[in-house]
Amino acid sequence: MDFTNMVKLDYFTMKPNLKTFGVVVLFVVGFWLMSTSIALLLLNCAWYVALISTNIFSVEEKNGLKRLYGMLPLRTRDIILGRYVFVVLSYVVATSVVLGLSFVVPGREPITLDGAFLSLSGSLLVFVAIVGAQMPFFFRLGYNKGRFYAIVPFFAVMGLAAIPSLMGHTLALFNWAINNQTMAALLTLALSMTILTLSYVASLLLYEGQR
Amino acid sequence: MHSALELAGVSKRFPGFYLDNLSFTLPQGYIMGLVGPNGAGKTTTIQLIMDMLKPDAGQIQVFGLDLKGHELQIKENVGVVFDSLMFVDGWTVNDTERIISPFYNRWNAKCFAELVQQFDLPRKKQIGTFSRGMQMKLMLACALSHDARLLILDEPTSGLDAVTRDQLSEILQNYIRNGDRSVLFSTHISSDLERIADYITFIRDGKLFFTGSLEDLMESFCLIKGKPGQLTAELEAKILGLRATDMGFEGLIKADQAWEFGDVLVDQPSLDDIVVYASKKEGANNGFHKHGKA
Repeated sequence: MDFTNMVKLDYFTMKPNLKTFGVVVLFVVGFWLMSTSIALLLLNCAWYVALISTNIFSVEEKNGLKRLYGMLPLRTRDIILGRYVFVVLSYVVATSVVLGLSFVVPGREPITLDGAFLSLSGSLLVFVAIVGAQMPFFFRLGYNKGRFYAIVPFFAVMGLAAIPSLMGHTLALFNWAINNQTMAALLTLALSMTILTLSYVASLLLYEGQR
Repeated sequence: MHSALELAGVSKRFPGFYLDNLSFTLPQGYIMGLVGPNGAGKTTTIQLIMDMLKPDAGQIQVFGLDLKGHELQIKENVGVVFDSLMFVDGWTVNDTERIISPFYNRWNAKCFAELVQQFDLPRKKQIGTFSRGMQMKLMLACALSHDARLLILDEPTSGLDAVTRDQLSEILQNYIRNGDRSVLFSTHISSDLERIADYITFIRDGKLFFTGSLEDLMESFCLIKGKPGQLTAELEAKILGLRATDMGFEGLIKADQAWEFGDVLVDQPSLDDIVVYASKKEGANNGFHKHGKA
């Protein structure tokens, strides 16, 4: 379980930058005031946490922490796995807080259990799609070089979404998801896990490759 | 008894740089200086020993164990100090201990506390505000607190004053006193090594120029000084590194060739002289290896 020490190391790496996370809270509160939908709130939360949690690569690069990882008795897979666990845990903590607060604050749209499950899994998919596409680039190229290449997958997705023939299929998919919420949530969850696993394997291979 | 460190035919290629067939042995209980000009390949060598880079060819053994397959066991027994801070600058000394200690099975909190006190390091101040010397001492305290048997120092004295460098020399001499521990000390300030190193490995342009005892190195070369008229083309070809002006010339030669230079003044070079002059002549590969497998 050496990766647990890596998770702790990542937490302490980000600890001096916890103020940045405060900005997330401000953004989420902003959306809170504008929207009554929990689904939208969770999607926004996923987006912001994804953008901020990958800042750990920036802190790592600024402080030359690869030398520390090289010195410590750690396997490469523990470094990679620890980082993925840290990033996913950041999402889980932030989502739990946001979800918990959303039940306390009045005026929220009512939501069914299936709807909540689908919103959560949809939010996780957005989060995983962002970090899953970015992290292999960051592991291979570092933060400064990697952030430019990490944008490419998003342009690709936006490009696909703009193709008119695909828009119809996308709408049909949304309709199906709304009518089959539990199944859609399970499939979304499975897709998220697949993306995370593929991203982890890609990061591992790319990190090893740069040695 | 195993050697502390052994590199045999290690090579690594990067665009524009090639570490070529490097071999040297650091016996247990001694200090070895790893010298060479900037860009010679010292840091690459250390990164290969720390498994941060994979060699294209060759074998690295630490305490008689092959690095490949024993990385964790080896790293438990190796301490490293780099030329600049390798911790997050927002951490305190207490944070650093809390974060680093769980990685080592033999972390000695008492030893760390004593070193922190001995080095006068404030425990609750952000380490990014420490001086270069204090940052080096913190890395050293971490390296010495998990009972490392091999200490690897990568340019730890660059930018440090003479007093701090002297303190480090004293610490290293005490560290190897029990005969079980060894030090690989990479630096381009070779005067630091002249006082404490038992062995020297000199790399130039990615190639091994010399590896052996400090005495052998010092006895192997001479510094010659003469007037311009005394330098013929034939003699110049034998000079490993030459500085020529209108007033005269100075150069480094192999000691056993000194008699060929006739009336020129022959002097004992310092380690600095050897490194500086030997690094002058680009493309030359007329060094020699006192031991090792190069």
